[in-house]
Amino acid sequence: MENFDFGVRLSIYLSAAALLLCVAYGLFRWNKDGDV
Amino acid sequence: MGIWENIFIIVYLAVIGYLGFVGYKSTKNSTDYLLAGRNTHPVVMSLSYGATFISTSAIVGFSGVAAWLGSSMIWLAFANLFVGIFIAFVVFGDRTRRMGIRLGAHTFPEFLGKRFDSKFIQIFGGLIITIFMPLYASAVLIGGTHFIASYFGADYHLSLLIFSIIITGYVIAGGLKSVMLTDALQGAIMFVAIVALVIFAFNAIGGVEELSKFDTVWQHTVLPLESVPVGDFQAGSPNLLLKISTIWGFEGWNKMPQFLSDGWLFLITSLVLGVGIGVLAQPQLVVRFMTVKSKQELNRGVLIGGIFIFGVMGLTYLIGALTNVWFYEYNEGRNALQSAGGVEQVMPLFITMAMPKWFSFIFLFALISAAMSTLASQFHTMGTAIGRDIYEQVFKAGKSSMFITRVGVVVMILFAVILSYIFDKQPAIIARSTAIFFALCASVFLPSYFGAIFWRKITKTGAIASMFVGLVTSSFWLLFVHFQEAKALGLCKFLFGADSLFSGKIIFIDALIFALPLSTITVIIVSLLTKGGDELAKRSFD
Repeated sequence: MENFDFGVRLSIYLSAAALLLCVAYGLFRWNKDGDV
Repeated sequence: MGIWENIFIIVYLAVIGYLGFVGYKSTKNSTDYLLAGRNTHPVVMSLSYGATFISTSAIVGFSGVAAWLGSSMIWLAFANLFVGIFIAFVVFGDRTRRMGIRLGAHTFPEFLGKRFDSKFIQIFGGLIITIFMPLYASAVLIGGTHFIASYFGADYHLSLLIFSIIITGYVIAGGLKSVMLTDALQGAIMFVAIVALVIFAFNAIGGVEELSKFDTVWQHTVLPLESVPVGDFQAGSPNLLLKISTIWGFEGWNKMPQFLSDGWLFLITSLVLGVGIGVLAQPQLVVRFMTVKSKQELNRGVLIGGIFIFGVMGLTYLIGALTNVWFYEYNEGRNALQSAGGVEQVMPLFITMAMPKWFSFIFLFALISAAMSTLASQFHTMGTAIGRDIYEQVFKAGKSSMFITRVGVVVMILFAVILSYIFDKQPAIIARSTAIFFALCASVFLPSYFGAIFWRKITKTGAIASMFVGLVTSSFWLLFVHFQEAKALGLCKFLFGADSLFSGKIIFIDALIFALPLSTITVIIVSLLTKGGDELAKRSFD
């Protein structure tokens, strides 16, 4: 990570955080909201 | 071509044909044809969404841009993930699905038209798609065909014809059911191929520790160009592109460009915001939210779509930048662009030189899958636009929607194929057609679409005024200001003798940055000054 400057590092961290957010949201709400 | 390659092609086409047939057999009415029966499986929906979103040009073009401009392209991966998946599914998805059911809407223009009780809006939306999407589709068609023609040594025009006929077959037969089933297969192929590419690429490059060589390669291959005058470079040469990147404020493949430099404005406004926000108002993607039966499918789609986009987009950009290190090591001290000769050639050359021979074939199929999945959705969306949103509304032919849409699909495919023959020799316009469509859709549709699902007081007049302002502003910016589109389209040069009406940093700012705020302000002010929003909201929300 030290090979990248702050701006690129930030984009990598935010991308990883966005992926975790998508995975966590999907898992926690996997069986919710099924009522049509 | 070996026997295994022949077997792979036959199996691939057979499975595509089978999925097309499954879609055809289960398509009984217009809701099946237009919205896949509103009961699509979440895996199919999210893979279809991702595969439609990502075309060949996104994989090859953007990874080539990463090889040219560096890892700052990862900001686009973040935008794709956070806005293109999380915001799209969680904020827009379920409200669109529920309102679509209440209004009985089957297409994106119909959704807006019924929400505002306006045939004009539905026809206008259909016209935007009918006029501008064929150029975007022909860009994808040309990209996919060139890969097929070059790999198999086939004639370009024959490849274009066969490629189009295969896609036309299953789009016409099974409508959105066939499109989404084949999309899911193609999305899975893309994901597996890209993940394999990442593993092979890191193995070929020598692991994560090789990231430290970014600076060395930049210093040896790009810094010497800084002292050479621009006029000494041959037009379109890789060294001229690298020289331009230094003028634009780029200082290395592991660094962001200088803050507010020309390169920073281009990267952040055109690539990150233009594509990142533009995706929210893409008609062919919005329709996906209306194909599931409950919010649960959308919840599950967030997880699947997130992993898919991260794998296909995020990792591709990182590999794109890293190819500079590999080429420097194994191609006589040249960086990626100097080795390949152009942005679009970097990834194909890297695959050919650094990967096993069999993987080139697998990756070709990933690229063909990316093109086919995007094209099938475009053809379906264009067909529904001209059939259901324009023809049925103008001529009030409400009884044979499926037949009219099928005719519309054929007409629009023919139009896109003809454009592909015409524009094959004018790559500048084709290269910008995706950006033009994204900027237009966001500027024209996004404020009204957002207001439609969140704001009860939005009025028909406000929506129409906003769409008009968005269309005029973005068209003006694309035709007369933004350095890439204005130059490619050539109208500004023809009328005023210059590529752009302005000079300086402003020509690097994307049309979306001006057009979207203006159309948003318009919808708010006009809706507050006019009446009728509450009556429209009653049947849409309650």
